[in-house]
Amino acid sequence: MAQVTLTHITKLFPGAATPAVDGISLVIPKGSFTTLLGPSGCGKSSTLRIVAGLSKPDNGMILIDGRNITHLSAAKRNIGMVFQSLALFPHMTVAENVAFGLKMRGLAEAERRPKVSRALELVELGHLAERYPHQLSGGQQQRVALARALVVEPSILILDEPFSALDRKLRESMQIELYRITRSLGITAMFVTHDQEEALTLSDRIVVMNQGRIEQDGTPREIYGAPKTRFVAEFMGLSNFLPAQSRGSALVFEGVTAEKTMDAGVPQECFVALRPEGLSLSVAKPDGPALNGRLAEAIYQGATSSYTVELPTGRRITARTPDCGLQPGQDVWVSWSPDALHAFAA
Amino acid sequence: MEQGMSPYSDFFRRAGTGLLFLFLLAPLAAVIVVSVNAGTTPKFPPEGFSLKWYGTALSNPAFTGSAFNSLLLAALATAVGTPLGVAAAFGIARGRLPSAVRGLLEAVFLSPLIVPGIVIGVALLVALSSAGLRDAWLRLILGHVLLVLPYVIRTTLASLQNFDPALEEAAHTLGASRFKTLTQVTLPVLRPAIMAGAIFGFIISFDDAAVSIFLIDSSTSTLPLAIMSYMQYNFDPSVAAISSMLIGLTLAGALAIERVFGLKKFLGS
Amino acid sequence: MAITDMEVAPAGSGALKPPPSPAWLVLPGMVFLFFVLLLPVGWLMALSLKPSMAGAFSMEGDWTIANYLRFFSQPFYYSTLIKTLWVSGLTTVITAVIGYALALVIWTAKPAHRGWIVLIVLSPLLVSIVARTYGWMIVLGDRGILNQFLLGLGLIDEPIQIMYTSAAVIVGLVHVFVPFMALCILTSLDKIDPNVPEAAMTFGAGRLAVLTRILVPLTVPGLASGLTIVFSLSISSYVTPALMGGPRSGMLTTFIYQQFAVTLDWRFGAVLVTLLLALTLLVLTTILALAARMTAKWSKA
Repeated sequence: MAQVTLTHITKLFPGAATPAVDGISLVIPKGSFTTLLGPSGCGKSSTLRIVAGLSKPDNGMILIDGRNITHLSAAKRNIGMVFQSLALFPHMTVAENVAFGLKMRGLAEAERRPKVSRALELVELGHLAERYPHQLSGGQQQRVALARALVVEPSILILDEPFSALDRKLRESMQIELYRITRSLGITAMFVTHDQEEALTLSDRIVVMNQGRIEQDGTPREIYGAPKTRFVAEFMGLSNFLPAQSRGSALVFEGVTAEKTMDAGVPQECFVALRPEGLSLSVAKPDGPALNGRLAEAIYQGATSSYTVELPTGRRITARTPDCGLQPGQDVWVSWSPDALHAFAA
Repeated sequence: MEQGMSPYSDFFRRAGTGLLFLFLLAPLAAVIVVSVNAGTTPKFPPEGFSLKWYGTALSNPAFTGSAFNSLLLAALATAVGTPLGVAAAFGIARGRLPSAVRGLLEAVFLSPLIVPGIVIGVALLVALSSAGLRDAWLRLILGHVLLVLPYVIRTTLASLQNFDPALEEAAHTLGASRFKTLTQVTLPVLRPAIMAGAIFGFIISFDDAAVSIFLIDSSTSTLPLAIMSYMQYNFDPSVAAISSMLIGLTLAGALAIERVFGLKKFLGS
Repeated sequence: MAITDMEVAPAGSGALKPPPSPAWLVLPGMVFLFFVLLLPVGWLMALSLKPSMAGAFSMEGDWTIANYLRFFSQPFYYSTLIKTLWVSGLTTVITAVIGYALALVIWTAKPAHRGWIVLIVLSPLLVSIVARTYGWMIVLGDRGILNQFLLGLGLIDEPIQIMYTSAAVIVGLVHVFVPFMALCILTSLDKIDPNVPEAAMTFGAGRLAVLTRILVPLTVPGLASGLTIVFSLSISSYVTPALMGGPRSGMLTTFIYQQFAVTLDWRFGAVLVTLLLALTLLVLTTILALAARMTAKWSKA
C-alpha cells in the first residue's frame, strides 16, 4: 500500500480549447479510499488514466511513496485497475485472467496458483475458476476484474466507473462487496464515478471535480453536509436555491431572517439552498423562521410525498416529507431543520 | 405478420417457398445422386447404387495430381496472404491515418474483390511474361495470395474495429510489455476473425478457376480446371463423384467458419 | 504533503511514450498489391492503346485508339458488350425478386427454423463452382431431369435446349448470386422494427401494400447493395458463362479468354479488359450514388 501524490497535473487534449485536467494537486493517503466525483467531462477519468500511466500529463508530477513515476509506463507502475468495460480477456478462463498479471511479473506456475486461488476466494469465485468470462453473469465478471487487479498486490487500486453497466440492485451489492474487500485489505484505492450515492457509500474521501479542477475535497460527511460551492451542492442533490443576503450570523431571504453559522467565504450577496428532505409543511405558522406560500403541487411517491410550494415572489421550492394530507391550493408554511439550510457564494 | 392470412394464400406461400428451395438445392442434390449411380451416364432415375465412380475419380491421375496442386496452392496462398492481410488490417485500423487515407487504403486492399478474376489472371500473365517470369507456380501463388488477401483483411479489420481498447490497457496495467500485449492479448482475441478470413480465403483459392485459367501451364493444373477440361470431353459420373467430394470439403470449411466466427456475420458484412 | 526523493525517471526502458504509429504495416501488402494487381492491370490498360499485333505484349509502337475504334465499329465485337449487359441485367432483376422472396421467408420464419433456412439459402455459395455447374448440366441437359420431367408430363414433345444458351447462363448465375442478394436484403429487414409493418396493418394496409409501401422502401439500402454486388459479379463472371453458355456464350469475359488464349491478340484483348473494368466501376458508382440519394432523406447515417 502506498501514498499517491499528484502535483499540478495538467492535460490538454489536442484540438480541445480548455484543458481536460487543469493543474490538479492531490494527496491520496496510504490505505484510503478516495473517490473522484463529477459529471462526465469533468476530467476525473483523465486524471485517473494519468495516475494509471495510460495517458501522459502535459505538466505536473505523480509520485508513489515519494518516487516520481510520471514517466514510468503503465506496465511498471505496479497498479491494479478495474475498467469501465471490465476488459476481461475473452480468450482466457477466470483463473487465467487473474493469473495474467502474475505471469507478466515472471512468477512460476507453482507460485501463481495459490495467489490466484486466494484472490478468487476473496471475491467468492473459487468455484468458477475454469469458466470463460462470457459464461459469467455481470456481477461475477465484475468480481473477476477486481480479483485480477488485486492479485498483483498493487500499490494502488484504480477503479474507473466499474459499476456503471450493472443494474441498481446489483450495483448496490457490489458496492458493499468492494467496501468490505478494500477495507479488509487496507488498500489504497482511487475510484471514479458520476454517482454521488455511490461515492458517499464507498469513500473515505471525496474529491468533487468540475471542468478539470477540484471544486471541493473532503469526507463524505463534509461534502454532503457542508458543500462549499453551488456546483457541489447541486451535484450532491441539493435544490431549492434562493437568492439571499448574509448579515453576520444570519441569512435573509424571501423576507425571512434565519440564524446560521457560516463559512467566512460567504459574501453578502449569496445563495441559500434548502434540502428537500429537511423541510416540513404545516398549515399553522410554526415557531421560528418559516416561509409562507401556496401549495401548488402534491405528488404521492410512497414513503414520501413531493410538495411544491409557490412563494409570494413566484419562486418555487420543493419539500419531500411523509404524506401529510395537504391539498393543492392550500396556504402552507414551510420550515426547516437547521442543517437543511446551506449558504454559498453564487 | 401472420394474422389475416387465408389458408389459400398460405398454400401458395408454402408452395412458392418449396419451389425456391428446390431451385437452390436441385443441382447439389443432382450431383450427389448421380455420383452414387451405378450406370455409366448421369441418368435419372439412377440405375442402382454404387460407389465405383468415387474409385474411378480417385484413381484418375489428372484429378489426384491437380487436387494435390490445388491443396498445396491454397495452403501456400493462405500462409502468405494471412500475415500480409493481418499486418495491413493493423496498419489501417491502428495507423492513426486521416480518414480519407484510410478509406483509400481500404478500397485498394479490397479491390481484388471487385476486379474480375479473369482480368487478374490475364493482367498477371501479361505482366510476368513481360518481366520474363514464366513459372506456373510463381504465377499461381501470386494470383492466389491476391485472392486470399481481401478476405483476411475484411474479417480482421471488422474485428479490430470492435476491439475494446481497454483490453490492451488492462494488459499494460498488469505489467505486460507492448510485445506481450500483442502476442498474449490482441492476437488471441482477433484469432477467430483471422481464422475465418483464412479459411474463407483457402476455400476461394481452392475453388478458383477464373484467375488460374491463364496462370497454369501444360504440366501444372488445378483441380477445378482439371475438372473443367475433363468435362469438355467426358460426362461420366466420376465428375459427379469428385464434385460431391468438393461439396463435402467446402461444407467442412463453412462449418469451421461457422464455429469460429458465425457464417452469416461473415458473409453479410 | 511530504514530497521527498524527487528522482527523475530514467530515460529509455519503461519510459512512457506514445507507441509508434503502425501505419507502416500496410506497406508489405501495398507493395504486393502494387506489383501484382495495380501495375499489371495498368500495364494491360496501357497496352490497349498500342496497335493490334498478334502475340505482342510489349509496349512497342505508337499510341493509338485504333483498337477501340475497331471494337465499336464491328457488331461482332460490340455485341458482346450488349449481351453482357443484357444477361447481367436480367440476372440481377431475377436475383432481386427471388432474393427478396427468400429474405422474407427467412425474416418471417420461426427462430427455430431460421438456421436451417439460412443454410439452404447459403448452400449455393458453399459448393464448388465446378460441382454446381455440373449439377445444372444434369438438371438442364437435353436428357436432363427437367426435360425428362416435362416429356413425362407430355408438356413437350421433344427435349428443349436449355444448356449452352443464355437462359442456362442466367439460371446458373441467379443460383449462385441469390444468397448475396438475400443476405443484403435480410440485413436491412432485420433493422426494421417488427412493429412498423404491424402498425401499417392496423391502419388498414393490406399485405401487398405493406410490402410495396413499407418494406421495400425501408430495404432500399440492402436492395441497392445487393443489386450492386450481383450486377458487378455477373458482368465479371467467367466460369459459369464458359461452362453453361458454351464456348461461344458471347459474353465479354469469355471473349477475353478467346482473345488471350486462342487468338493471342493481346493488345485488342486489353481493350476488352479495360471496357470490363470501366463497366464494373461505372455500375458500382452509379448504383451506390443512386442508393445514397434515395435513402439520404430518412437514413440516419
